[in-house]
Amino acid sequence: MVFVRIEYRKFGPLVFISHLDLIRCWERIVRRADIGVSFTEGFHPRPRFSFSPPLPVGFEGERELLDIKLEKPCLDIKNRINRVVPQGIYVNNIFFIQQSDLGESVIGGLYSFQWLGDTDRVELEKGLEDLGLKDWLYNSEQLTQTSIFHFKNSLTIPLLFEKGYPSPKKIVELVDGIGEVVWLKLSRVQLLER
Amino acid sequence: MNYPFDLLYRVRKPASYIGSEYNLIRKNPEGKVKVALAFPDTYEVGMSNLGFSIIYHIINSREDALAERIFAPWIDMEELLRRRKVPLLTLESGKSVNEFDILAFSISYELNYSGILTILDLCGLPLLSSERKELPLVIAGGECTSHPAPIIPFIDCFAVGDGEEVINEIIDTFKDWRLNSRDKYELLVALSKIEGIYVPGISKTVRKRFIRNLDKAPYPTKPLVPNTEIIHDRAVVEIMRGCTRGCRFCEAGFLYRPVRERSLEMIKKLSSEILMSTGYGEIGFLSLSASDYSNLEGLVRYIKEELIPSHIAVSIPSLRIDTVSREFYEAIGEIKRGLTFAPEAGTQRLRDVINKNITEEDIFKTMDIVSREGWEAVKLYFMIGLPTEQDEDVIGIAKLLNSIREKYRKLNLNVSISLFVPKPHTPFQWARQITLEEAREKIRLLKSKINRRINLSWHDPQVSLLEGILTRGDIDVSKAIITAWRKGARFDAWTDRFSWDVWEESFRENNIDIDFYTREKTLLDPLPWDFVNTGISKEFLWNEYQLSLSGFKREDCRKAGCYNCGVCSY
Repeated sequence: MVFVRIEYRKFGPLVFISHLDLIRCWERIVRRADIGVSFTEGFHPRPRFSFSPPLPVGFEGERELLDIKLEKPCLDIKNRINRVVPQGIYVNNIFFIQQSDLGESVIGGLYSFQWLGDTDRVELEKGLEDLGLKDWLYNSEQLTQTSIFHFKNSLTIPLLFEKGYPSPKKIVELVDGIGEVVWLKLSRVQLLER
Repeated sequence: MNYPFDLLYRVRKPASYIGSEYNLIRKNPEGKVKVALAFPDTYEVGMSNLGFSIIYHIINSREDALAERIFAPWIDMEELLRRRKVPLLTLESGKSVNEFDILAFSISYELNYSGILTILDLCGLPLLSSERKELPLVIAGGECTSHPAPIIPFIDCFAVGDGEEVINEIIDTFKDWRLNSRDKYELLVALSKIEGIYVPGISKTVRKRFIRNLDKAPYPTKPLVPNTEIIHDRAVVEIMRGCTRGCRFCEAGFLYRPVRERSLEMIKKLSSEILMSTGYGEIGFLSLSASDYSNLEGLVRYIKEELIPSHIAVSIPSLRIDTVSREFYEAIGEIKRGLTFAPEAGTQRLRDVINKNITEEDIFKTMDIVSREGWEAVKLYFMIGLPTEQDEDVIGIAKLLNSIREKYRKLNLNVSISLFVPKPHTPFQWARQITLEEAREKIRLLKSKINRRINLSWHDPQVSLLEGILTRGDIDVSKAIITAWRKGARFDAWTDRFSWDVWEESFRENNIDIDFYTREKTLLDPLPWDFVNTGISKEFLWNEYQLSLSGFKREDCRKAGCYNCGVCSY
């Protein structure tokens, strides 16, 4: 049995596709790349995949992981895939692994939020504390040429995939609730592994 | 991605507005004829439309032209675009339609008419052709252009029939015109000389275009692969165009005549190229009646021997159960999905009237196979409100279903009832459409007679009534379309969006008498689509109508001989 672990970026237009869409998208990528993946049985054969936990819609993933089971080892997988990806997916690295254990080893992610808006710092920090969060990095930068908003904000928070931790969407809601903002970028910078 | 991140982040289905599909080509617009292809429904519906995909492919195959796409934005997106004063942008280059030479609509369903207005308006174009002095030229193709009266005021020029050849002639004509003139009227005059083109105000009549040989017709072998799930999310190969069964209610059956088949060799070639270029894991073989494909046996062999072993799932809509073997159904997994079957009417008399050549014996034979082979569910389609229908025909549906239920207790019966809508260019184009009260009465009658364990669902009679008015409407109806659109009519084909109140009010305000459009017509009544020649003679259709009223049926003309509908000598 051979597994290949794919470390890829999900960015640009594809930040807006759902996890289910992403699965379909990868299914077609590996069929086009013809890298000898192993398929499930049945009337709708699917490649045998294992994905890192879903990204919320709107979030870029800078280092996402996907394990694929192969029928047999295949050379040049990275290039074969990158030749047939749509704009918005790009493979950074691949590794051959013995066992697929994404479900257990990935325990969280480091998330970054960037927006324009005159967000009240005290209210934001109180909101984050109310969500049970303690560690974060918040930065607010004064803009020189301003139209409606005077500040560009960025917030980075590690969030674990376990009970007690809010979803990244909750943080977006929190910021949206404090005042009018324009979102610039949302991303999962990296996955946190055990 | 052409819209700002923040804008897309705030809509429900942002993936419908990102484009960036695999196989997308972005062309340098320099010197090219620029066509914006518009579909007046959502991305998910439009991207599933084969005609739309074919035209996109043909235009982009030309070195001197390019096509980019726009779809009707969902309500939340429309609202946000208006609030932020952003026009609708093409998915390819993110340009506004104002920068294009031609805006081409693909219109295949009457309930999309409000979407035409949404798109025109969000592109910053006046709704009425008479108020658009500049480019883009607004053209339309698709099934609805064969009875275009209610949308004539919105569109500069209509293409009737198959679009494969005529789209090239339109672009050539446009290029010639651009070299010599800036006068839009001269362009319209030049276009009106193309066969299959109808220019309101200039053309008197129009003859439907059709391609003679499907094997020679261009076909998209590198179709766009959507990044988000669409309605028909699979590779598609059209195996046959047209149908000769002659069901008298079926518009497609008459519009797409004559029957043209694609050869098995070509089907294989297209299938493997498309699967290779897209990575789809599923393929659908499209036609109006797959069982009538001459080399069905060869197609079945190809599916079993080549597609299934390469982990490709297969669907063949409109395949009758008695035409292929059990093994085949099992092989493609159809048994699990459940069978669909359309007797359309509950009594033999009425099935003869509509020329649906299915007998009660056929129905039970099908059910025998279904239950013997262990299928779990069957979906059955019926219509109510067909010409000459009596209470006993409605009760006949219940009787038929109850006896199926009685005989095959394990089978899960799902029944879908729709209201008959008389369609232009069919023998029933003169027929009466029943009123809402009658429809409700018939549904009540049916429900009272039917076994409660049968799952019954029906189309909203109000939607069918609107469809009936729009499909047989004349140019006066266009005013009501504008009024309804202004009152908020959007996505009328979507049950959660449809509002009959809005339409009824709009008809009333514009003095549109609903009864005028739904009542029975005589041979002497002028029909709003009389100027469209589909190749089938009006005498033939009238004769079919009369035969139908006396319950006289006709066999498939490919088997029983010619009835002189006219299309083969067209």
